[in-house]
Formats: sequence, structure tokens, C-alpha cells
Amino acid sequence: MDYLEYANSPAMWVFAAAIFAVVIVQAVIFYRYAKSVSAEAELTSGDQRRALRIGAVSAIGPSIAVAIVAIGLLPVFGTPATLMRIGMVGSVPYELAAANIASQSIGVELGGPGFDGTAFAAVFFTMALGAGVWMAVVLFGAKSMGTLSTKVRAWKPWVMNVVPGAALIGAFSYLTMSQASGGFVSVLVLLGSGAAMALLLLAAKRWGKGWIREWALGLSMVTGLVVAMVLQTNGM
Amino acid sequence: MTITISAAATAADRKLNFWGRLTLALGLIISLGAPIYLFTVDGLWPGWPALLTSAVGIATVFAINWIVEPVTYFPMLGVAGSYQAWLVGNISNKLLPASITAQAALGAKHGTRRAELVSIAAISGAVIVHVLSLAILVAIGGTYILKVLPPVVTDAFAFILPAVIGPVFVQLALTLKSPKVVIVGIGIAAIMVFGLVPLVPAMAPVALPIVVIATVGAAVAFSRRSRTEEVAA
Repeated sequence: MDYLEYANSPAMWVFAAAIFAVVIVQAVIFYRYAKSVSAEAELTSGDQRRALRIGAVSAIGPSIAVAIVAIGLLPVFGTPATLMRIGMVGSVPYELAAANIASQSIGVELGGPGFDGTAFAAVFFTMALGAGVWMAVVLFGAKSMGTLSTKVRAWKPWVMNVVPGAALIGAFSYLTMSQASGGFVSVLVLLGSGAAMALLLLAAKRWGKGWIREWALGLSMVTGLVVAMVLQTNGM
Repeated sequence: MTITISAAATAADRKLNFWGRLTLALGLIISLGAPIYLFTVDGLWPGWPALLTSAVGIATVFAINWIVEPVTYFPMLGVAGSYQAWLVGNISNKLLPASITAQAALGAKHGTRRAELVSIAAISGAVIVHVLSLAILVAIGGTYILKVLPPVVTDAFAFILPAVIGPVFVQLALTLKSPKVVIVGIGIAAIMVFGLVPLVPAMAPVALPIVVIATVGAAVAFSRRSRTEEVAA
């Protein structure tokens, strides 16, 4: 029996649906939590809905990109496993690395000849196990990290005002540089989409239009993809 | 100065930790449950040696990331954001950009309670689009979509990461209003990516935390200096 018959079995679809249910329930519970404490931060319900909408709009582009990668993986992992792995702790690079490491350890090529049901089960388990360690660390660690940051805030409030912004700048500096190391096209995409963002934010400030900020990320992303498209059609 | 946290807020935070842990634990159990179902009910048991070598294989690559990534991203995500982000994944390409864009549009300063709540709402919105996109495009649309889209378009999506990360960096740099910190961050990142990591490839898993810690350290040092200057003046 081909391993994809196991991979696409009704039972696997039930597991995939269960994970999606957990993800949706969590989003609803957390949104309602934010609503219940919004008064203490002077956040109106209009602001909150606006934040929800901005988050949704900003996620459209990256979601399509992830979906395209996921579709490409369907023939290898079957639909439910692809949905579960990409839908959960799913950074595509991690999942692919874990799958390749696992199949090499067993001595078969991912999706190649000899990749049978047991090999698929072993690879699928390894991907879930590796991602599970991250989840376990957050499961047991997030509360203490929260307590620690509350203590720091009480001790030196200005430290907590400086740290998150600086941490973000550090993280995205690193991500920008590692993307820049991807080659000439990547560098031009970074510059093109970054310049689009700078222009959009200037325009939003100049004319005081809030909606420009909301769409800024989506529009800059499209600019970057158009740059990539033009360069690729010209053979770069 | 003492910080008084209202009883209502503490109760709400307890609830947040409870539901955050419960949903994350459920996600963990279900995601391990699916392959265990294959092992047992479908009888596809690969044997302990195969599982152990695979586990050792991923541990040698990811052991450091397992600890440092949740800690590194914590100041940006907060408690609630961490529970959401580590269940859904796609942190640097989807959830953080959504949260940063919402905070910038609503003028919420990083590290404030307001920013945290804006971030929860933005991440919830991003999660809904994420789930819908997977359900519609992958589960239902499947291979059909790849056939319809011209290759020019699908090839361009290989560059989605620079197209997201470039604008997010610009947005952060412009909202932080601290050019010194931005220069330090980008400088250290360049040294790591183009200098140290190619020389010492074993440093790759700790490159991100090193850049984050160095940037945070520089920012704290700068703002401490400007505070003492204020006091002196």
C-alpha cells in the first residue's frame, strides 16, 4: 500500500481539523481577553477592531506565499500532514530541515523510492517532536518570563520601554542581513520593498491618512515581488 | 515606586496563562497524536533505532534554537503573543510584521500595555487569515492553483521573505526614532552574517540572539547615558 493512502486517511484529516480548531479557539479566547482588559490601556473597541483588521490585511501576502510552498509539499506529505506541519509552529525552513534530517537518519530519500509508510510515520513524528520542544519550552517558560519582565518594569520602567523596540530592531537587522546574503535579486527586492515602505509612511504622515499605514506592508510586499518578477523575466 | 496591579487584571492574567497553556498543550498532544496513530492503529512502527537516530539528528541541529528562540522573541511577543506565536508558527514572516504594522498604525509604543493588547488583536487577525488561507488555498484549492498561476508569479513568491522583511525593518527604524540603535543593530548583523558566521559556521544558531542581545545592550547603554545627562543638566 502506498504511504500516501495512510497520509491522506480520514483519521489524519480528523487530527488536522482538531489542530485548526485549537488554533481558532485560541485566537478567539485571546481576542476576548484583550477586550476584557482594554479599559486599563485606554484602547477603544474601535481601535481593537482596527488592529484585528490590520493584522489580517498584513497577513494576506505571507499567507499566499506559505500556501504556495505548502501546495508544493502536498505530493510528498499528503494534505493533512502538510496542513498540520505548516499550520502549526510551521516555519517552512524548519519543517523541511527536520523532514530531511529524519529521512536521512532512516536512510531513505524523502518521497523517493523506499519511502514507505513506516518511513513517513517516522519523519512525521520527528517533525512534530522537534516543533513540540519549542512548544514545551513556551508552555513551561512563558509565565516565568512574564513575571520577570513585570519585575524589571517595576524596578526600572525605562528599561522595559527600551528593550522590546531594540530587540525588534536587532532581530530584523539580522533577518534583513541574512536575506541580503541570498544574492543580487534578494538585495534589490529588499531595497525596492523597503523604499516603498519609506515612501508610503512619508505619504501617510504628509497627508494624515491612516489607511495608508494599514496597507503599507501589503503594498510594499507587492512592490518587492514585482521587482523580483521583473528581474527574473530579464534572466537574473 | 510600587506598581499596584488591580485584582481584576491579575485574575485576567491568570486566565490568560491558563488558556494559553491549555491550547498550546492541546496543540502539542494532537500534533504528536497523529504520528502515534500511524505507529499504533495503522501498524507503521519504524522501530526505536530509527526514531532515536532521527531525534538525535534534529537535536544536534536545533537544540540551541529550542531554548534561545522563545527567549529571544519573548520581549517582542509578550506572554499572550508567545502562546499564540508558538502554536501557529510563522513568527518572523507573518505574526511579527502584522503586530508591528498594527502598533505603528495605532501609535502604540513598544513595551506598553497598549502595544501588547494591539499586538494580541493583530496576531488574532493574522491567525484567522492564516487558517483561512490554508483551508481554502491548500486543503480545497490544492494543486489546481499551481496550474492556474503563471510561473512568472509563483517564481516571484520565492522572494517573499526579503519582500516582507525589508519593509518591516524600514517601518521599525522609522518608528523607533533612535538612529544610533538602528545603526548598531544593522552593523552587528552585517558583521555576523557576512563576517563571523561564514568563518565559524557553528555560530549560526546563536547569531540571531547575539545580534538581539548586543542591540538591546547598546540601546540600554545609550538611554542610561542620556538619562544621566538629563540629571546632570
